[in-house]
Amino acid sequence: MGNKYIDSFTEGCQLVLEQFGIKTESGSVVLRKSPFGASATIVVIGIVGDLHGQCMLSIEEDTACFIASKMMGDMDVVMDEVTKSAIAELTNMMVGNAVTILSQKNVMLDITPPSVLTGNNIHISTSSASLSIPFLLDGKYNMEFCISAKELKQ
Amino acid sequence: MAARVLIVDDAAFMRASLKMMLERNGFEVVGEADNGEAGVKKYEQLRPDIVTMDITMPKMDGIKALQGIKAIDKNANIVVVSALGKEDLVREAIIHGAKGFIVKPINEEHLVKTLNKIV
Repeated sequence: MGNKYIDSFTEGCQLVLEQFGIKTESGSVVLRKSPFGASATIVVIGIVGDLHGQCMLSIEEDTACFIASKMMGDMDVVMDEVTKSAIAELTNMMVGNAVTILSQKNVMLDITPPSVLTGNNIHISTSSASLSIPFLLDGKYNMEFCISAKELKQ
Repeated sequence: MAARVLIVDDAAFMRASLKMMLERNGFEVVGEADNGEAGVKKYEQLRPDIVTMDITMPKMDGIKALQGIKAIDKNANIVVVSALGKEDLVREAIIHGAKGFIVKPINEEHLVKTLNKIV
């Protein structure tokens, strides 16, 4: 996958997080070979069109609660169904914004509704290697956004 | 009298956020649906003044639900609220009769202005 994809997904994530008042710093992109270990909360969204695969958000519980709190106007939150729904919607918005940015670069994609997975010692197997974009939120919380997709159009 | 709104979105968090924003700005939320199919049924039962409609949903997506509601009531006021802001999708929604298009994350002021213009 080319830089235009990585840049667009990075921009999509940052745009959404910053609208909720979260400061973001993105790190160097890492190639993750299948299978790879993930955090305790994962949100998966399928992508179809000029790319075919999945986007995944991988975060620990403290990051999930921090983000959900920001999305709910700094309310105190715990890891419950409302928090999971907030994180799923955040991922939907980040991927949706990236898809909108990519459409302006003539890359046409559609997305599926998000699925949330929680548990310990989760390993993800994908049909292709994943590109992982690490983020540091408010200088304290880690978030990883992965794209595992094949390009169907050159 | 407060405008009556039906919220159609598969995310419980989004339904709760929209409800909170709408109620604190004088709208009455009369119903919620978590997919397009349920949204069409609720529209037929409740006949709200406005519908906020997500696009990417299970069972029936927002564009098909928009068409379903328009088949029941060609004057239905539907505002699409979606994470996807692609030009082709906005055009498709407008062609099928949407009266507004709001891209998530929702700006509360923009949401209220859009809905107030319609009612």
